Amino acid sequence: MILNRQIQQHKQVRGGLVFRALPFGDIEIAPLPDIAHIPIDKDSEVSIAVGETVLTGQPLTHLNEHSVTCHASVSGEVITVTDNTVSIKSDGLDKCYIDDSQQLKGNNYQRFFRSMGLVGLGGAGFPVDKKLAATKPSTLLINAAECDPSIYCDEALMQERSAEIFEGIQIALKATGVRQCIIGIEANKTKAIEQMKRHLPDNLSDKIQLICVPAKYPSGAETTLLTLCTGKTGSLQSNQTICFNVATCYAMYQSVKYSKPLVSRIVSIVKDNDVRNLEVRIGTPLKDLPLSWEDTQSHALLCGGQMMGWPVTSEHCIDKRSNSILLYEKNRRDAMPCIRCAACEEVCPENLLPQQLFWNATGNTSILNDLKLDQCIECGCCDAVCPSHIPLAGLFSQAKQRISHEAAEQEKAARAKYRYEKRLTRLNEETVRQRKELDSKTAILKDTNSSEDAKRALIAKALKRKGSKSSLGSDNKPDRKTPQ
Amino acid sequence: MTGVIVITLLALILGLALGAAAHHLQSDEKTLVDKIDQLLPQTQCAQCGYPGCRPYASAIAENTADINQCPPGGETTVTALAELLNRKVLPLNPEYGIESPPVVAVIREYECIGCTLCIKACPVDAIVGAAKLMHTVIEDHCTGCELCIPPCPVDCIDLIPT
Repeated sequence: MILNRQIQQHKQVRGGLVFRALPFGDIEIAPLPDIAHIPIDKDSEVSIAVGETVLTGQPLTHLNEHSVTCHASVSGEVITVTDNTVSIKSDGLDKCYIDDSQQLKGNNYQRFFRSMGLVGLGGAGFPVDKKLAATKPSTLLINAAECDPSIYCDEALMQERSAEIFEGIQIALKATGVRQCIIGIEANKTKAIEQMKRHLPDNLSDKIQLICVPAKYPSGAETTLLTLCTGKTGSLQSNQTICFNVATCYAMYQSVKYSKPLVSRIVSIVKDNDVRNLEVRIGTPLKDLPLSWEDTQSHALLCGGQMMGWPVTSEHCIDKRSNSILLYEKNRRDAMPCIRCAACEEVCPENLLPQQLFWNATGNTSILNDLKLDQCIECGCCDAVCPSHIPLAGLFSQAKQRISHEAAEQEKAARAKYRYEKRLTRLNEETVRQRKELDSKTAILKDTNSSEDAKRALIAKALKRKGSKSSLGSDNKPDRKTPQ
Repeated sequence: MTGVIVITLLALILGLALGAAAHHLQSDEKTLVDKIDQLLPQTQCAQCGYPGCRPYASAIAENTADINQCPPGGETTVTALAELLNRKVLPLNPEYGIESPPVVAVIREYECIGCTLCIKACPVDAIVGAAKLMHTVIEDHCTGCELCIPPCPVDCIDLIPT
């Protein structure tokens, strides 16, 4: 079933920004890097040593419960191993690693995806197996809307490999045990929509819904996409929905069908109005990509898109999260005072009041909670429209960190207070008990009426205690008070 | 005469009712000491000259101690206290120590002789161990109060920044 929903129908979703989409060509295969620096998860243990020869797709870490396995993305010699990276000098042959044990056994998808190094390729890089383990979903949401206006990799993938994507979606349906699947795709990706419609398998047409959502940033944010597609609000978890990116589905297909671990991904390279989509091996340094880097002096690099990206240098290596590299001209605009124009309020997709949040960003936590700072998705729409160039999203992010830090401190203080009070009560009880014991003993000794036997028994007990103590002491250190 | 009796009775009844109400419907509002105590960092380090955070809070409430005697809380605590008590913000009194980054105590376990002196000194029971057996600090519970350092006869406790 194919639905073409109009923007007007989505009155519940307001705000956001419309960007002009740029044209781009076919996916190009990037040349192999000379040296690939493959990032290693901090919880995993490296299984290879310096000097060893590895093949493309060979696991570099032991399979464990906590993190996905990392794989060699080129064949060649391991030259350095550190806590967080393994560097491999490529031999240029790209020989493949074949291991029969690397196959899906039964229905153990979580273990299999973990061994194949699958993480969400939309940008957050959340491990697929953890996503599967976290929820018992009833709906599968496929994110076919780019999360940032300067990312084109998913669109390119849908245009060229939509049949494989549907294979991947079928695998995802099996792995999650879900019957219903919704694909949310931005309405301006006409070629991609056409290809997806063409390759929609007939036997799945009753299970899969393809929904066009308005091409408006941040339609690709998971919760926004869910609202756009189903009208439901709230988190994915509360709506029993699991969300995968189309590129993740494609990687699932590759891993199940060809036992091919995640060793490459498609990266959009955007410079001015020029867009290229390259299939790049994980661990390729940016300087090895076939691009003109001569103007990096005047240009800066952003990884992850123009709205939510983070600055990188040409030394940066492509990892599983790097969905786009954006070159932009360095023209830092200094922030000026807020003029209270409320332009930020109009674009906020979460219905917040960025201006009020800005005035209170360094202030009282309870005010910020009232203004629902925790609902801010840091999409950067408010930044983009601010005529005073105030870095609002950055300030909100800092405020969130401050609040969580304060909450942690308060929690710790409360725990310390509790333990301190408990200890005081315990010590008091102890003193009271000791005094009572002493009192009862002295009472017997002082009491002239009490029998001689009771007194003798007490004295004998005390002598015995003294004796056992001095014998204990004589074992290792002599009692200082007794003369030698 | 009747008037006097009626008024007296009325006063008596109302007085009793008020007394009962005061007893049963106590307001939930925290006392000043509680409010001050809540602003203190609860390290129980006694650097302020009082045996813990609560005694210091009572001293502040009774106006026998200044608000600038808490080095772990530092400037933030002084400002918060000044705001609560409507007093002037004072710089931290260096007599009681200087503000330093938060630390936790860590026992060099192979040097520990198991004397239990640090266990007795810890105000929040964050050290586990027994006589003649190795001791260790539960990092999550340690407030970095430094009270375990002086009693240690072999100086095997380090303070490590968190």
